[in-house]
Amino acid sequence: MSTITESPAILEQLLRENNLGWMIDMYAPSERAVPFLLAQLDRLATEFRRRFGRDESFAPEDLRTEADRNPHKIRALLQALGVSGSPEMLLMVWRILHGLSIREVKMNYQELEAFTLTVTLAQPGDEGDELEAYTTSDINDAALLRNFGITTVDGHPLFDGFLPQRIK
Amino acid sequence: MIAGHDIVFPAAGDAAGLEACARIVARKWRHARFEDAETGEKYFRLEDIPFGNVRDLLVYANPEAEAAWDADSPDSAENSMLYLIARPEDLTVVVDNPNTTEMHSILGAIRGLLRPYILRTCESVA
Repeated sequence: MSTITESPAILEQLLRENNLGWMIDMYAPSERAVPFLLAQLDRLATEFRRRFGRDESFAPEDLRTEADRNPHKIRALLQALGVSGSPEMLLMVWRILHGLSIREVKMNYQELEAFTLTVTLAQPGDEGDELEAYTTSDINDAALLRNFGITTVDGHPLFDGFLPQRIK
Repeated sequence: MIAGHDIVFPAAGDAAGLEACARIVARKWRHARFEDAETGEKYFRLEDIPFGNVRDLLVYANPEAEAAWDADSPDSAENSMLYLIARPEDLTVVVDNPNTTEMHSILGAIRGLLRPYILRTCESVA
């Protein structure tokens, strides 16, 4: 199932459990927040189908089920939902949360002129030749990089994972 | 039997931290196998692990290492299994010998990835 139907209460509960109630309370008017976010999830499902030719559910009921198994992944996705209005970039987040490696990040910024961010993902390992590129020209999406896991391996740079930020 | 050098990272041992550690290990060990040390449940793939329900995770370097450990074989190779332990106050990696090139690499990458968790500047979420 990919269509978001009747789950505003579950989505609100998930947001508040993850200290993201502000996404509802600070939205104006606040009663429009959950419908707006449900529509965002629906667009994410549409983008998934467009790219992969199959359905993936982002219905709050299914996010709740996943949150019981992997609460940090749903927390991270919901944080991304509060940052990005781009279904393509939200799908990028979802794919990282499901194990894909961050193969390349290209960002171009020119003051008051241009911004582009392209994140290329692949299955982990050398066999990951099938690349998935996700691009945005919305500078607000740069905030998604804050959730990237950052480290080095033997002195070489590595982005790995999409980690929930610790907010209160 | 794992000799048991405990490498303790003072980072919140939550699901995100445990998965971050496991991802780094799996990056090095491409054919890693996983086991919930409390329940004995096995996982072939990283993405199959319900990190919200796992606190102690065994990571075997490959199926052969897993079989050797399962058989309690005295031939189990050194550093062929890592034991990841998540507790609210820290994350611990138990390793046979931390002084190998491979373990330096793994532990260094884990330390880097957990840095935001170690240097957290605000209260953590539950």
